[in-house]
Amino acid sequence: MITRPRIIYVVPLTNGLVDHLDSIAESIEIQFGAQVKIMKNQGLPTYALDGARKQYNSNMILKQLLQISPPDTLKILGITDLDLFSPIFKYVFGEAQFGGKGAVISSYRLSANPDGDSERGCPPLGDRMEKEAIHELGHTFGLRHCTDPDCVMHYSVGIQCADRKFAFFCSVCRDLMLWHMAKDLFLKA
Amino acid sequence: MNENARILIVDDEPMVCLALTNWLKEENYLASSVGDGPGAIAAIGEEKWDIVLLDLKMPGMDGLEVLREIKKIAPQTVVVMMTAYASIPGSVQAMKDGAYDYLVKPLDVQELTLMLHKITRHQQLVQENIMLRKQLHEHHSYENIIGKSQAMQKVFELIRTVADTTATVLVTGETGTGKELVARAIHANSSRRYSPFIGVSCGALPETLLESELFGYEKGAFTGAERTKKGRFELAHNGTLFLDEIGDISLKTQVKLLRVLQERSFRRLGGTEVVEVDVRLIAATNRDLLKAVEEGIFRSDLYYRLNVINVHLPPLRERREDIPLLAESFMGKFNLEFNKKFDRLEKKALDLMIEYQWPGNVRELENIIERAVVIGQGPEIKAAHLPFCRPDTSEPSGGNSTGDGSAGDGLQLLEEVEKSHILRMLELNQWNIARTARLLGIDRTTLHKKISRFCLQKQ
Repeated sequence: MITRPRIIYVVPLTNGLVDHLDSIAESIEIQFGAQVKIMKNQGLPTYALDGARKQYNSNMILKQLLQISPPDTLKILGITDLDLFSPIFKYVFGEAQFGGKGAVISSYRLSANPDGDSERGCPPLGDRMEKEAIHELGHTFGLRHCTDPDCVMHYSVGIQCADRKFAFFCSVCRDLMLWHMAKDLFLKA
Repeated sequence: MNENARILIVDDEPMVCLALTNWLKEENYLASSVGDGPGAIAAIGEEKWDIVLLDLKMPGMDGLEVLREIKKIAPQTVVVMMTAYASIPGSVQAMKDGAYDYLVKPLDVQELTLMLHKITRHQQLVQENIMLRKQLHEHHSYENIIGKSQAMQKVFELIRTVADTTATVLVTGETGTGKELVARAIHANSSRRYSPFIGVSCGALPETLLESELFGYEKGAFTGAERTKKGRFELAHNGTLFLDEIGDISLKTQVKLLRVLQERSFRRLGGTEVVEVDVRLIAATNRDLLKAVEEGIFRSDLYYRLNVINVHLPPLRERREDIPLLAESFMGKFNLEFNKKFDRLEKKALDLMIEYQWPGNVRELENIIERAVVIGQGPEIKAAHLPFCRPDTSEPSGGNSTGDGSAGDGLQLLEEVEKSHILRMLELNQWNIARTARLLGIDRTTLHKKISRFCLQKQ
């Protein structure tokens, strides 16, 4: 029997962040119109730790996420509070397989103002994580960065710039996302 | 977001090439990568790149060497060096050698994004600047005639002034200077522009044929005249008749032409009916008509009748400042025609073009650019593409010279050199007149005339 991919899985990769998981999952469900399930906590991704950089390799985490994804996975999103890097970049807020299945985001660099030591004037961490989660999942649906500064797919240089955009798609990105989703749901099975 | 800037990544680490290429593609850039310096130089020579992300430390040819080569081949391409902390002094040297900036690996996404935005924005401004220069270039052209030189600006002004009058115009200038273009420009800017523009190359037709071409004939006027045929004068009714090579028509035809100009009417060959026409006449010649008048081979009354307005086109060697403009314009034209991407001239090529005497004038320049675009891959026209740079064509070939006109001390007269060169070109092209004329940068009529003047015959 063919199992159709239909569920977006959210995977905690640490022991923290439990407070935000439900709200992020709810927001994903609203924006993508797909069923969202929170998987059990997978613990720290020690396999991805780069000793020299003292950071976690997001590429390796993505590979691991794909390995643990259930057959009915439409997309799988890892959430961690660790400092992520991709080999060519110093750090990343998150990473996604463009047009693929997996994405990962981190709260590590989302939790503070740019000076890194103050929480004052900073929007709730959950809001930023919600936007980052939708943004990265958007990439897995084949969406590129959007020129509309209000759209969640807009690329913001720096966290503060990201605060001004909304946690949902502009009409163009929404239509594109639905088109890609229809393709994922009904053609790839 | 980034207007699809073309970015080339040069890094010996395949992982960096792959990851950066993918990331740039996701950011809507057109990205590609190569793994070493020679590959980068080849890629720069083959295609136009807006930005190069160049690794400083590479085995073999290092980043600084590659940077210098890129700046020689494509100075407009922005080069950003990528380096590790340890090689920051090298990056500073790179900046001195023309790099735009440097990025430290591992890269900072925000820094890279901002830098690419800044560069693409800068290049947009450069493009706008080019557009504005093109608009300025349009001021330097008039109905396909190009020239920013003072002499050409005067020609444009004269064309504008006389276009919408009925005055007869005599266009003079050496072969290949664009006399027909001037005639067409005058027609296109006159109130007759919606009526026909009819051209006749008087030099290409024998006398009797020219008369029948100009005035037409009645059925039975001569053997083979099976039906009545309208002449060019009739076809040009309400429009413009362009008589090219007017200096070559016989005295008999000159009389007939003069009568038409006087009476604005004529009879077809073999006909009795008077045909009235309203034609604006533009004549052109590369001959010195005043001298022809003095020699008695051109009627003075016809000369003064034709020379109401004289538009004289200067030879290209007298307006060398127009050569880059013309070359650029022809490059654009032939890029479209042959689907090539030439966008610049090598400095040496331009210097040679400015030095050259251009006996075939603009037509010769056009042919040379066409040839270069056809045989080259671009994006640069190089000195090697120019036929007059080849030693075998810069020296006169004495093999076919008859020797009867030689100066006696081993040197050849100009006429003799011309004759032997034309003969050689004809033989090289199996007497294909059109192709030979193109290669010589002259029109077919002129070639025919030269063949008969030099009594050249196919062996």
